[in-house]
Amino acid sequence: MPFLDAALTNLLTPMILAFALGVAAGLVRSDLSIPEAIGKAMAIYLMFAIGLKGGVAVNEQGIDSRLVLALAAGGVISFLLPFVAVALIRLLSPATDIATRAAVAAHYGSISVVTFLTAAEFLRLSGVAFEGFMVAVVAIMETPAIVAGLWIARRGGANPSLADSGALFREVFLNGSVVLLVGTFIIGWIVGPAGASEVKAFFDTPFKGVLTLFLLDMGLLAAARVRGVGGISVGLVVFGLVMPALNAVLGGLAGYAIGLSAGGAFLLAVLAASASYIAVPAAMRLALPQANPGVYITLSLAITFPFNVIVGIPLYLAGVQALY
Amino acid sequence: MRQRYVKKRLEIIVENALVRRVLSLLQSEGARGYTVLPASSGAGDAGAWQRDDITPALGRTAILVVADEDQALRLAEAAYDLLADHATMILLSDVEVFRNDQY
Repeated sequence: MPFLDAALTNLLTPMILAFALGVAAGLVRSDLSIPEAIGKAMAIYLMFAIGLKGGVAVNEQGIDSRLVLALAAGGVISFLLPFVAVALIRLLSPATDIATRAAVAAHYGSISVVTFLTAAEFLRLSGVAFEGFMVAVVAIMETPAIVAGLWIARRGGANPSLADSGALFREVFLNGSVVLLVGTFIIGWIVGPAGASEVKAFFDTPFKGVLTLFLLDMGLLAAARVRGVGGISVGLVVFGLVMPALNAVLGGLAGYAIGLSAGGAFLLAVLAASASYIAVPAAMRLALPQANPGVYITLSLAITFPFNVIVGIPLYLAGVQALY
Repeated sequence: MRQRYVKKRLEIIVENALVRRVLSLLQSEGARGYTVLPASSGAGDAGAWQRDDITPALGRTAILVVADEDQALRLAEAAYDLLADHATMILLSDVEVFRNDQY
């Protein structure tokens, strides 16, 4: 079966095995850890490299209407998914308070850059082409979900704290990953393949190795959150597994409808399926402090992230390829 | 023995996401100085947290101010108003300092 082959191919990459090693080391409480500063440096490296690569691809391929459509689709999907999420949480875990429900919903509308990177590597491994501008869609999808989540909270009576909207604006629109992705995308666009070749030895060849090491760190961080799973309801755990698959269907269909290639539609499906664990928690701590971070971080990092990188990625690609 | 002066020590332990807000508050309320200290890990009503977590927003930072009693109480009240909804600790204690005119 193609899906099982793809799943096995995905599972047996150094990246996913490194993630599994991190999870295993964390679960047995090994003292293995990646220093915080190195983790941050790797994250900056990965985002710089992927942004640059995306910009160079647009420089080579030029801009067409699909770029605008993909950006618009990404923004709309990110804004609308929290409404789907909040309805699903109400169904699966009615006891969850409105603030936590809205915060979780915002996480699932937003995205995980590492899930995207892992999916893009999986495409390269599978020999499936995709549009370089999908990196710009990553940046677009970070933030509309935060606005939707706060709106849901306000409508539900959990008044978000918007006293210092300047700080929230910075967190939402100028957070490090958005600035880095957009900035490096523009750099790649300006310099094109000739300029990028000057830094290729640093940003291209070691990329997979750094991603592998980064996934080891992600495994350790996810395992540290696994203990929190016992503290959340079964309904929410089910939500953490069902929501990404449902979002992937919506993202994949949207990609297909706007005329993306199978690779591009798959990446839009992955972005829709992924949940934030960096940008959105920061915004929620600022604006919705009454929401329980133990719930939203655990769901996003300990349930949905592993589900997506291990099972979701090959599953979504099989689904999208069946569509094409 | 060198002369010592009694002051108030105000410690505000706050989520990293809110540090900038607290520092602007201290400045607007006229604090003469402050010291920002990173916190390593901890646990409380809002759950456990650690400095090297996936998102820096969940970590905590300690902000230390030494001031005259009136000033310290005013700063503490203002900080409480700002942070009432957030996971935070606001501590006031008596301390002695050597340099009276510095605080």
